[in-house]
Amino acid sequence: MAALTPGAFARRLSLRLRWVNEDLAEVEWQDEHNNDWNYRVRCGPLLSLAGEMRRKLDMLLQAFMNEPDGDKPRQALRGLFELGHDLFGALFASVDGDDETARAARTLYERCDAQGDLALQLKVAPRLTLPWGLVVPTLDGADEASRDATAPNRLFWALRHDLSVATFGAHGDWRNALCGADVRVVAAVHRRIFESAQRSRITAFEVRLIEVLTERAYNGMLFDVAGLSGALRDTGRDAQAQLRVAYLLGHGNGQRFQLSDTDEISASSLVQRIQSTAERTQRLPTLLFLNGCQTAADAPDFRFADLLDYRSVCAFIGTEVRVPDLFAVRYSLALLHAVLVQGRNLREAVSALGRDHLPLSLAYSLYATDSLVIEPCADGLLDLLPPEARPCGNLSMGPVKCAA
Amino acid sequence: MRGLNDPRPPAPYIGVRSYDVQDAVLFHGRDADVAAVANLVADKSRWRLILLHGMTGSGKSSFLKAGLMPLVRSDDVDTEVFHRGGESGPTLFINSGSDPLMRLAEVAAELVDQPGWWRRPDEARPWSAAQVHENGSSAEGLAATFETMAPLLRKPLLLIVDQAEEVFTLAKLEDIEPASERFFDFLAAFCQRPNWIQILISMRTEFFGRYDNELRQRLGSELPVAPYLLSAPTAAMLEQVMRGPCNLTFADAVGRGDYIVQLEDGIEHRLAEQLTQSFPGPGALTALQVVGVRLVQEGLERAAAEAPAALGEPLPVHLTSHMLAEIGPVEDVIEDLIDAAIGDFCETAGLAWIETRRLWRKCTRTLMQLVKPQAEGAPVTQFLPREQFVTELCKRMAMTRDEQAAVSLIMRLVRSPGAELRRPCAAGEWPGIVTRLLVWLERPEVRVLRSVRSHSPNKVGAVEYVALGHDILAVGLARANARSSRRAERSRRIGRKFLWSMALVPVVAVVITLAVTWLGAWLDWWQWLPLSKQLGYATAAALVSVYAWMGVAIFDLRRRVNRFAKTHGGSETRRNALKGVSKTALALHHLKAVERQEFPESASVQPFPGAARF
Repeated sequence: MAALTPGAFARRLSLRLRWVNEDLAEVEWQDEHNNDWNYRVRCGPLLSLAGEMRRKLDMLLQAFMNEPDGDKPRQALRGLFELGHDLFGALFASVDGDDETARAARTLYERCDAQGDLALQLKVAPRLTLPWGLVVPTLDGADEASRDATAPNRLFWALRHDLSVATFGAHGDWRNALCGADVRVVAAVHRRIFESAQRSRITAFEVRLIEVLTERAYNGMLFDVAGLSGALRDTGRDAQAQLRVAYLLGHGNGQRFQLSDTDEISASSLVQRIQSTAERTQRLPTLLFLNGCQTAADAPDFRFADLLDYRSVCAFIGTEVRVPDLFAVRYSLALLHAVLVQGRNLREAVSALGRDHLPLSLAYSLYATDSLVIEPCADGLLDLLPPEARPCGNLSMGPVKCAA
Repeated sequence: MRGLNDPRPPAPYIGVRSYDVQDAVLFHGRDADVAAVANLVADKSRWRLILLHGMTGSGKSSFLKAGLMPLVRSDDVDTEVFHRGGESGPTLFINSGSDPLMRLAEVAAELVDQPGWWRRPDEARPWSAAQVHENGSSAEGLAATFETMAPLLRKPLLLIVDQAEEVFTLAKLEDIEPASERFFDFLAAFCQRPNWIQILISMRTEFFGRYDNELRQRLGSELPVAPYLLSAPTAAMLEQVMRGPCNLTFADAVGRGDYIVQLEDGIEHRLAEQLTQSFPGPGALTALQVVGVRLVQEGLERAAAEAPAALGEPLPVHLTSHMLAEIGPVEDVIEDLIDAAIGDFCETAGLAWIETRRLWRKCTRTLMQLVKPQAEGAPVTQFLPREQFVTELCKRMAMTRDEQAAVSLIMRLVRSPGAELRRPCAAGEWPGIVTRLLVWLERPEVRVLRSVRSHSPNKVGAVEYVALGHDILAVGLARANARSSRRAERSRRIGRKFLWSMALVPVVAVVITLAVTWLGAWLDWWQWLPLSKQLGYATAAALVSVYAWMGVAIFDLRRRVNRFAKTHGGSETRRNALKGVSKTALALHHLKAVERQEFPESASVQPFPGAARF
């Protein structure tokens, strides 16, 4: 435990949030000044703040889709930021009886640089998978003008501060086992969503991307719900397959997930479906991208994020709130492009997409270990894609903001 | 040369010993398993207990030490693992014994005494070690102790209970009230108190069902317990193990510089296939490591002889299928390796290798009693009270005086290198020598025997048990299986041959004698043919044969028979001649008497009677 360096603002901050018991979580603070502090915080306020944040986020996105330039999105954004501040502040509300530690925690909170670029890395226990992507650094140290969260520069800073979130786990780049040639992808997309998106406004680049992914690079990829179980099983039989990407796009409501008009499953049923494949399959880590409304949200009994508890699921991407279908299609294609074609780190990819496609991208959360990466296929998918066509700017803007 | 601070592993393949923490860089083939179990460790709120199970020899200890432990302690999982030893000796987890609850209570007391585990090392703990130990006598008390202790620890903690099947096996041996009831009560209480201490229990697969059943009876179906089966090594896994060290640099032990291992295309596949066929189930991994060691030795010698490495460049050592064919059957390679290990030791200690090897053979026969093949041929080790084992070993190792001296020297040098030679011990001391031999066998670097001390409430003091070390179990049993099957087959073959030969000796003797006689007689046809005209062909031939067989010279016989026949007639002669051997002797005597009576003058000058007729 190093002494707190006086007068030094923390700009590169690493926070580890570990679960101790039902009531307590431990925070470990590390910054560029070699400060290393440990203290305890209460779990209860964190969990209740998370529920409130999801509600505010839903309000923001709905308001944005209805009236992008109106006043309601600004108000909702302000409310969301305030909750983000509260969540950040809750990380420093030490419950430790030791006054020195509590004081130190408060000082640490105040020493965060509220003006400059702040690189915040959060690593959280699987039990504490809250919408950490919405955490906003403190405004306490800022001047009066910048306290207005809706001011353009403040908005820009708050949305684009460097924040990365990871969960504890072991599926990262463990001995670089996740070679690109070993990746098998299976995808099941709700046909109505896919057809409506295809008919309407996905770009030529995205159409070509689907073709390339389907035909050339990952021939396990199929847009067929009925074949999903078989595809998972066949993929698992391949002894060389080190990682599967199971991508499911459908309608979700936090409790259930609709893969097709007739195939609606609960979280536990989805577990059974994944586990019902061959025993060998269960040993293979799978990245589960569950692209449907509220798939990352809390549920009273069993939430989809709890799939991480199963050994066959090593990472989970879900949505905290409702999202429009067309945005879901385009966002998922952008993510697959970044991860499978460009070979970007999962965390970096989600983080970059979050910045590029605000504010709808705020709905997506990644629960995975820090450096989970899927190396791109050796034959260079980039060459197969038309160079003149690249993904468009912000998918939240323009026609996509309306639900298909 | 490899320096003291050289982080590189000493050799690409580890041979018969098991992996330890420092071998993590060489541990391959179980990446998915390691990551899956580490993920279970990472989510402490959901999984309170992890039941890791696998067949004997499937590599559970290696998995825990070289696979799981480094990853769990890394930043990705950030959990401390309770263990002893590690830096200089082997890593030891909590050994279950027949009363694991007591072991856990001892661990809790040990934690209290060591400040490094606590958030505030300088502060006094709320309880003393003695209090914690006392609390550990009850299941609820120990679970509550761990719950109270957890928030005060510096980091999340994983307790690994190894060899957990001993809860059942040792209790059965000791014929005591099983401590398992209290242990399962503790596990149930522990699961109901979520905190950041977790317990991983490692056991043999055949006992997993009993654990699962006991826990379900106490906790219902909603178990915060994660089972994980560590499957037997597959061919694909063996290939990864073989390929693992390929990109690493190693330092040669005999000072030929650094080297890197390169595999011929497809050799790992061929070897893996061969091993999975020869050693189905556990044992293939150890056998692969042994073959790997032998191949690297061979490759190093060839590479050093053929092309010395460029200055500063590591020597490339190619392992080829030709070398694989040259080193011979895997069982022989394993045996050679063990012999070489013994030989190295004897060389260091200045001992006669042959004597020591012979002792080792005697010892091995006793050790093999500790192995029991189960259904489908899966081997398990049996526990034997140490005293009984020593008695058996003493009986088996009826050592000569020189052998006693050799063992005595081994023991002394192992314990205190450089000690002066002592004269051979007296015959009465040899049980003590056997005990010291056991001490040597239990040493971590030898790892032949595993010793367990068990506190039985029905007996005074602790009872010690021994079992065959798991690391050599696979190899040892494979070798024993191969050897014993070959030996049994050879014994049966030799036995059959012996019996046949014993039965055939008189028959063959008779046949040969008769054949020679008949042959001799037939060769004399020109002599006895005239006789046959008087006695008949069959009688003459029989007479000739019988007399020839009795060693009577045939020359004079003809004349005697002729005269006897003249006197007594043909039928009497035939009867006397064919009555048997004894009667034939009488007949011969009678013939001689007649001869003396009727032909007192020497008849030796008489020609063959038939000659006159010709």
